[in-house]
This record gives sequence, C-alpha cells and structure tokens, in this order.
Amino acid sequence: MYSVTAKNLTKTYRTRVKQPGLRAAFRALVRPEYREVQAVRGIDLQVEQGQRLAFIGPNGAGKSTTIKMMTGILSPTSGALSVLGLSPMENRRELSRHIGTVFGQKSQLWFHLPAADSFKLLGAIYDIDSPTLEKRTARLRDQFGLGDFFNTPVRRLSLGQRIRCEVAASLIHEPELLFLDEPTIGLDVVVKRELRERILEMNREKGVTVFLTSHDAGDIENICQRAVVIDGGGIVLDESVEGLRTKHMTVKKLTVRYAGEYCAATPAWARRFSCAPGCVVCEIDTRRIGAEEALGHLLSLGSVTDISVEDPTMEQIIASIFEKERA
Amino acid sequence: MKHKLRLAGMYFRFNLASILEYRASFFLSAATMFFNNATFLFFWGVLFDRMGGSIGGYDFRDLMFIWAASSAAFGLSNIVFGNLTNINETVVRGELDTYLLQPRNVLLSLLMSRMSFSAWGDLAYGVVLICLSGQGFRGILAFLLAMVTGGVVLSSTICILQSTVFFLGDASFLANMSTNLAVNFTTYPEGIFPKAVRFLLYWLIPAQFIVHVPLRIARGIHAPVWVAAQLLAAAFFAGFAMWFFHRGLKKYESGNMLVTRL
Repeated sequence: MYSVTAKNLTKTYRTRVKQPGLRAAFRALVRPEYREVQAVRGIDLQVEQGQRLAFIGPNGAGKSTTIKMMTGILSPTSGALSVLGLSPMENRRELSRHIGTVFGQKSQLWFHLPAADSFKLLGAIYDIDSPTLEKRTARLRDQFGLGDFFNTPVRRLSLGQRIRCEVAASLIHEPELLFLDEPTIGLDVVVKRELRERILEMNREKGVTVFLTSHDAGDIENICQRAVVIDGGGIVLDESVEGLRTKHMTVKKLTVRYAGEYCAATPAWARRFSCAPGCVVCEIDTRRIGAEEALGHLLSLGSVTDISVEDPTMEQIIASIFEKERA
Repeated sequence: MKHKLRLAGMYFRFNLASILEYRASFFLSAATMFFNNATFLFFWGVLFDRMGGSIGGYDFRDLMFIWAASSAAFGLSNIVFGNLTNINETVVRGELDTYLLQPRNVLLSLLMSRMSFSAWGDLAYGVVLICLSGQGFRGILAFLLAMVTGGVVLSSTICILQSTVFFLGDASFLANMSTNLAVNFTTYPEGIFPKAVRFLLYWLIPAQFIVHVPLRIARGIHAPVWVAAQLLAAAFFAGFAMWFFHRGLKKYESGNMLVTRL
C-alpha cells in the first residue's frame, strides 16, 4: 500500500523574460517574451505507508514545488499523482482531512492568540467534535510538552516553543501522512532532538507516513529510513539512509596520537595527511585502502597513545552527492 | 451547515479576541472612523441647508439613510470578512497555502480569518445614524436589509476587483482602488447621477444594490419588487465573486515567504 505514487510528475512555470534597460522594458510592453522553467522534471516516486522518507536537495531543486503538488496547492503540468489514493488537485478538500503539513516558514497558528485557541479553531476547521478535540489536545499537549506555554499568546513564544505547537497542531486531525518542510529550521540542538523524538513516536504509534524535506542532516539521519535526493527538478538518488552511509561513506578520518614527537611524510595511499607534533590526522578512501591496513601502517610508525576513526557526517555525504551530480 | 456556522462563529470569536489584545488601538481606530464619517455628514447638512433642503429629489433624512446603510454595510462586511482588502497582497506573497491545506472553502476561510479594527467604527456609526434619522419600522427593516445584503454586494465587488490579481500578476492598483470604487458612489443621492452612470452603478459598480435600492424600499416605492431584486442581486454578485475567485485560484503559484498569521 502506497501513501504517495507519482509517475512522470512535471511542473513547468512560464515566466516573463526581462531584458535590462529602458528600451527593452518598452519593447516588452508590446512584445513580451516568455520562457518556460521546469521546476520538476518527470519525477517517479512511490512512498510506502508508514515509511519515513527524506526528500532532500539544494535550494531550487524542486522540493517545495513537489510537496505543494502533493498537497494540492499547485497543479502538476503533466504526469500522474496519487496521495492516499486521492488526486490532490481534484480532491484537495478531502485529502486535507488526511494529511498534516508543517512548513517551517509558514505558521498556521494565530499570532496574537494562545496556541490553545488555535487548536480550538483547527478543531472546527476539521469538524472534530468537542470531546474528541479535548482528548486529542490533552494528549498532544502532554506529548509535545506544551503545558507551560499552551495559554500564552503565540507572539510571546520562543521559536522552539512555536514549532512544537505547529507540529502538534498539524496532528490534531490525526493525519495518515505528514509533510514536514524544514521543520527544525532555526531550532537549537535540544529542541531539535525533542521534536525528532516526537515525530518518530507518532510514526511508531500511529503509523503516520513522514515525508520530510530538510537541509539538516541530523533530521535525515535521526528520523528517516529512506532518502530521495532531488536536483534540477529530477531525482538523482533514491537510497535507504543506511545505504547512503555505506555506499557513500567511502572516506574515513583516522587520528593517531604518538608517545613521542613523531611526524612523517604524506604516504601515497592517503587522501589527506597532516602532521602536528605527536599527532597524525589522515583521510583515506576505503575503496583504495582498507581502514585496517591504513591503521596498520600508522601503528607501525611509533608508540601509539590514542586512536580515533571518524565517519563523514551526513551533511558531508549529501554535499559530496550534490558535487558528484553537478560535476 | 451546522459545522459551517460553528466555524464562522469561531472565526468571529477569535478574531475579536485577537483585536481586543490591542484594546487601545481598537477603540482608537473605531472612534476615529466614527468621527471621520460624522464629518462628511456635517458638510452634507450645510449643503442641504444652502440648497433649500432637497438635492436630486432627496432630503437630508434620505441622505442619513444612505450614509447609515453604506457605513453599516461596509462595517459589517469588513468585520466578518476582514481580509477582503488583502486578497491581492495575500496572493502576490504566495500566502494562500495555509487555506489551501484546509478542508474548507478557500475564499471564505481567507476572508473570515481577519477582522478590521476600524470597521467597528463604521458599523457603530451606521447604527447610531439610523437611530437618529427617525426612520419608521419599514426604514429600519430596509436598513437591516441594506446592511446584510448590501454588505454582501459590497464584499463581492471588492472581492472581484481584488481577485484580478490571479490574472494580472499584481493588481495592487485595482486592489487599492477597490474599496473607494465600491463605496464612493454609495454616499451620494442617486438622483444627481445621469441615467448612463446609474446603469453603471447597477451593474459595474453595484452601488445601487448597496444603498439606493434599500432606500427605495424604505420609501415604500414598489417595495416587494425591490426586495426581490435586492436579494437576487446579492445572490448574483456573491455567486459571481465566488466563481471569479476560484477561476483565478487555478492560476495561483504559491511562494516561499516567511508568513505569520496575524
């Protein structure tokens, strides 16, 4: 059973070409020139029910446009799209009862009113009867720890408190599919961790499918099972997050500390090699030399007091994928 | 229907609570608008005095009705549909997303999600003025009809002008003029306009259906026929505004601005 099915999904915008200069501006009045911009080019995607998917890509890659088509905000130029078995454009209102959305840049809470009031209004918007609304509000308030500030006007909340309210509010109608667009933007590490835990909890307990876009590698690593990388409007990689690690984590950083002041020349098998008194930092490509073999070389150089082996961060992995694609 | 009324009631309650967060600003805006409207009537009073008590077949009491109906219709429409004058800006900034993500009529949700501070002053002015104008029972009923159905016609006119944004890309000019265009002709006696202008007032800028037709009803001129015409006009303009907005909505292109709901 799939929550999202997209076949050859395309979105093309027609934009006016503006040439510089006054003469060009007058010419454009009489004979305007247009060009077509393909924001999304033939995306094929299937997301299983209950799956946690990261939809990642650089700015302008087509992530938000794709999400907006999936939620019924924008209509696709061509291709087939089904979300929870419904066509987002034809069944927008019906679909909105089954999906939740959090756009980090846009708020669905009333700025001057307490979050509690926004929850009541959302209850009326989604036709939730009063006893059910009270029960769900109480559960979400506990789950997201909103108790202390639930009755404080939203304008007085910190960003972290507001985002927690936003995510909780997006779950008030118990959606089957949750779209999260940059949910942790601007949050500190503690709030980010709490929010990720809550999202995982919702997925575990209610089987909510999570469709996440984020520039934060921590979100992808900690929340998602599968990563779809998009660039230039098309999918360039569709891989499990674990696969992303093993297949693209070919670089390792080895740090070895020696008892004496030791320094060596750069060996041929190292990608990068730097020497400080009593310490060697070395980067290797595991396709050229295994970590064990490289460590063997480094250990034989002197009396070792400490060793550390580091994997690249998810951020570095994603950056290297984008670099490869663009090259 | 029950759910729709419940939602409309909620919007009203929370919008009112929201503007009451800034009590001083609210009362000041409403009072300023009240006195601003009163000034116009003062000048009309002076003019009627100089013209011997009648202009274009209307006396001062008729003018009080026109001003009361116009202010109350404008006030009510901007209290209930406070976002009416922000449609252009909302679309240009790509802020309709929030409403498109809800299982509700986009236009009604957008319009009802805000309340105008100063519109309370307009409504209060209209009510006070009709009480002072010495209208009979029929006059009061005609005023109430004007306030509700005239408010619908006025809202629809502004909505149509603002919704041209979908087709023009940015209709700031029309949007800025929309309120003046719709309201200006409602504050003058119908009799001063030539026939061709009156035709425009019926159909292009439907000022007639905001105040002048209700005035005829108040005066008892073919009242049942005009009541029916007024109701039909309100339904027609509301339907056309709804259709026009949703037609334009298909061209909506969204955006990525940082947005807060005020």
